[in-house]
Amino acid sequence: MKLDQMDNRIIKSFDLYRLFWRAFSLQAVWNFERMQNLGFLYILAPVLNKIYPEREKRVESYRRHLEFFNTHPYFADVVIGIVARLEEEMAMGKGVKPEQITAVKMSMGGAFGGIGDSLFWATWRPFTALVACVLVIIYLKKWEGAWLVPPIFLFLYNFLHFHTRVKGLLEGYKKKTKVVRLFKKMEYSRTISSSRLVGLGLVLLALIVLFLREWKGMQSVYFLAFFLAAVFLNRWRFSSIRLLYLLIVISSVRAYMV
Amino acid sequence: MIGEVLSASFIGGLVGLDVSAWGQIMVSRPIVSAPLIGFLLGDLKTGLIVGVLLELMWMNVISVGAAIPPDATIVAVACASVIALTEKSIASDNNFQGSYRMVVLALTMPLGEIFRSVDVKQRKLNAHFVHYLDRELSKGNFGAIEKVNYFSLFLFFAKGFLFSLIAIGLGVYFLPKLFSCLPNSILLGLDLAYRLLPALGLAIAFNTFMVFPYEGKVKV
Repeated sequence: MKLDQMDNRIIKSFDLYRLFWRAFSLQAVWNFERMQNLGFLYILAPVLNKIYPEREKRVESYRRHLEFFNTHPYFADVVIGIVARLEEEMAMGKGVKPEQITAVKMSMGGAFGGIGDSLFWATWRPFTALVACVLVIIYLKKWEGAWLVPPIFLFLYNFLHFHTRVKGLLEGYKKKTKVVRLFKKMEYSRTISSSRLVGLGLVLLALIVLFLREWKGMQSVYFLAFFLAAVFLNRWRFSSIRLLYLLIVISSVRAYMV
Repeated sequence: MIGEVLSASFIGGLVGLDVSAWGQIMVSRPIVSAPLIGFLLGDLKTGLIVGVLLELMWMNVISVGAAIPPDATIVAVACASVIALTEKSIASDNNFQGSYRMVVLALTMPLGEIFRSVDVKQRKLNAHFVHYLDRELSKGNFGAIEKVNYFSLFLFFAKGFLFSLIAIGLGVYFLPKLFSCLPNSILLGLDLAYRLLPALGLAIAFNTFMVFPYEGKVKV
């Protein structure tokens, strides 16, 4: 169904653009008490102003969105789309109840928050960043196009990011809670597992390239030994900053003794 | 020099917004922010190297749910700026370029944790805005939500800007002096450490993508 063919709407395409634009500042007033609530209200404010011209109802709707809300920032667009539609239907008297809107916000926020964290923060960002890093490691010595690396990373990463936002907002507005089916079909788990596999291969490739290019003779043992030690120490919750200091201490001691 | 420090801090404040307050289009990641600073200060390649090293080292630091992780952006901005601004004055002897980078890196890394504690304070104080808005709504002041939003964005920017300014200023002033005091044996050790640094970064990256059989799912 196209947006223009949906009848009797108060929210027009222009309002959806505004929602999309404002959605970037979802976490601008992030607080420990109710997390993204103020950001959510800020995003929805123009729409609420439009569909509730009378003061009483508008205050009520503002208060409703002052409640706790937290989700992954990219998937917030889906929830925004759904909530905008539900608010609109409630204002038009189509039998939507306020409690229903709050319940949808909570359940959708929780579910999409989990997907977003494991898809974007734990997989897609490390993966695209790794691609950029490996490009630099392999080509830096003889490559004039090094400045291209950050744009390549941004383009790769934001392709999926903006796709999620735009699709989420539009489909959320059109299909309401049925949108969950669409996101189930998109098989994020497959993206995650294949990114992991390719990422692992890229790490090993970079390791081999560095090893062959930079290290010769006895010293090459240090490189591999330190890599393995760092892998296992990091598994035991040794953070990278501690590993860095450990590395400095070990190397200084060695230099002192030689 | 002052102009360069100020402009680098300004960029630091701007990309700092991207960490969580506005956007998350990932210009805040070290792989983008460090080369950006390097480009601004006329040394893109150094910025890119710093960016790659930091990106690899901070790869498995992520925020899950409501947790606030240490901040990688401030480290990238401070480290890239200090190196780009002072390296030429110090490395008359090119042999110790790596040692100097290592010193700067080692002393800027803790900034991430310090910045985090300031960030947590700000987010606790942000709760006052909720109550302020509640009162304003009773008076029928609907525009307050916009004001609160822009003001809070400004506070986030100001925090990043001031923090970068202090870090870069102190770094540019003190680190070359500190470096010239170091004995030769330590410098040699630091040089070796710098050459081993990619192994550390790749180890972290390896752990980010490797899922050991007994763990089942991603450890964060």
